[in-house]
Amino acid sequence: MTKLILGILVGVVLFPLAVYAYLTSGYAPAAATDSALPLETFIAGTALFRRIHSEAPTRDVSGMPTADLVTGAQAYQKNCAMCHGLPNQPPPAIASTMFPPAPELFSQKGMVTDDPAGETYWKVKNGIRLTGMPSFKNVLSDDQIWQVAAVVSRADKLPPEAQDALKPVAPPSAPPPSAAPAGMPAKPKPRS
Amino acid sequence: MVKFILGVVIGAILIPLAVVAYLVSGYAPAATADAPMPFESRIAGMALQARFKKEAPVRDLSGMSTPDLLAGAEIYKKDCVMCHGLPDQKPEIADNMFPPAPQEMKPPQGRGGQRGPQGGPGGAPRAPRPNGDFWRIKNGIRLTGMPSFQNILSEDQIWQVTGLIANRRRLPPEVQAALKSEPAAAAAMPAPPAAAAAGKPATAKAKTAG
Repeated sequence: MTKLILGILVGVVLFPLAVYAYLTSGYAPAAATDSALPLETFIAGTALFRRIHSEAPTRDVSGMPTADLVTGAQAYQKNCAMCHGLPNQPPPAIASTMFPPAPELFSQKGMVTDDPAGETYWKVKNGIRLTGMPSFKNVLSDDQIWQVAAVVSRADKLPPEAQDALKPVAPPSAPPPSAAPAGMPAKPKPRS
Repeated sequence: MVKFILGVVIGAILIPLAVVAYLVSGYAPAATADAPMPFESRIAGMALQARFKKEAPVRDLSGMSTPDLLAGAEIYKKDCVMCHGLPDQKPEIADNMFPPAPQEMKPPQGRGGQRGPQGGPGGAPRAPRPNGDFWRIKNGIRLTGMPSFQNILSEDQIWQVTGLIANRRRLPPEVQAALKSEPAAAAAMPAPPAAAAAGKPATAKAKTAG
C-alpha cells in the first residue's frame, strides 16, 4: 500500500513535468497555423458550452422589430464584420488564419441560426477566452448586444432593410494616396 | 514494484482527469473578463518562447530605411491597427479580449515585459535577437486573436511591419505622421466611421440604402 501511494505521488509530479518538458521543447503548437491538440477542440468546446448553458439568458428574438434589426446590422457591420464576414462577400482574410478560426456567421457553414439567441448574447457580451473574440460589454449597450444577437441568429431570414445594412460600405482598401509608397501593393498574393 | 508502477500510472492519469472535470464543470473560466488561471500566461509564454528560439529568424532591423518603415506603417494601419492601435489611439476591443491585444505602437507598457526583440529600455540598440515579431506576424499565435499573415503579406512586408515595431521608439517624422490617427485610418475598417458610432446609428440607414 505504501508503494502504491508513493507511486501515485510520483505520477502526480511526473505529469506536470512531462507537460513542462513538452512546452519548452519548441515542438508544442504555438503558431495559429499549427493543428489542434488531440481532444483540444472537444474539451474547450465543452467547457464553453457548459458555462454558457449555466449563464445565458433566454429570450425569444423572433419578433424583434425591423428597426432594431437594422440597428443590430449596423453594429455588426462596425464591430463584427472584419472577422465574421458579411452576406454574399468573400470571408475576411484573417478569419481562417486565426486559431481557432472565426466562424463566418453569414455562410452556410458558420451560421449559428440553430443556437439560441441567448447563447450568442452571452458570447458577444462576455467574449471567449483564448480566441480573438472580445467582450463587448463595455463597448455596446445591452440592447445593442441583443440586437446583434438577433441579427446573427436570424442570419438566413433577415428583412431586406437589415440586409441592406449588411452590404459592404467601404472599398476594402483605400489608403491615403499621399502616404502610399509607390510599388507597394497592399496584397501581393491572392488568398489561398 | 508492480504496485509502485500502478501508482505512477494512476497518479499520471489523475491530473488530466481532474483538469477535464474542472473544465466541463461549467465553472472554468470562459469569458474574457474571467481571471487568468494560475500560471496560465507563463505556461503559454513558455511554449511561444521555445518556438521563437527554434524558428524565429535573426535580423538587425535598426537600420531599416524610411520608405520601408513607411510601407510597414501603411500595412500596419490596414491590417493591425484595429486591435494593436496607434500611438495616440487605443481600440476599444483591445483590452476586452483574453489575452488582451498589446498596443504595439505605445511603448513601453502593454508589451508583456521583456519581449521586445530589439532595443533596450532607453531605446539603445541591442545585439540582434531572434525576431519574435516576425514569427508572430507570419505564423500567428494560437489561442489568441492573432492571425497568421503568411498568405496575406509577403515576407518583405512582414519584415517592414516587424521593423516598424522594432523601431517604434525612434521612428522618422514622416513615419510618425503616417501613424497619426485620422479619418483615413478608420476608412480601412469596413464601417461608416462617424454614422455608426455606438448609440446613434439611425443616420447611417439612408447612406447604406442608397
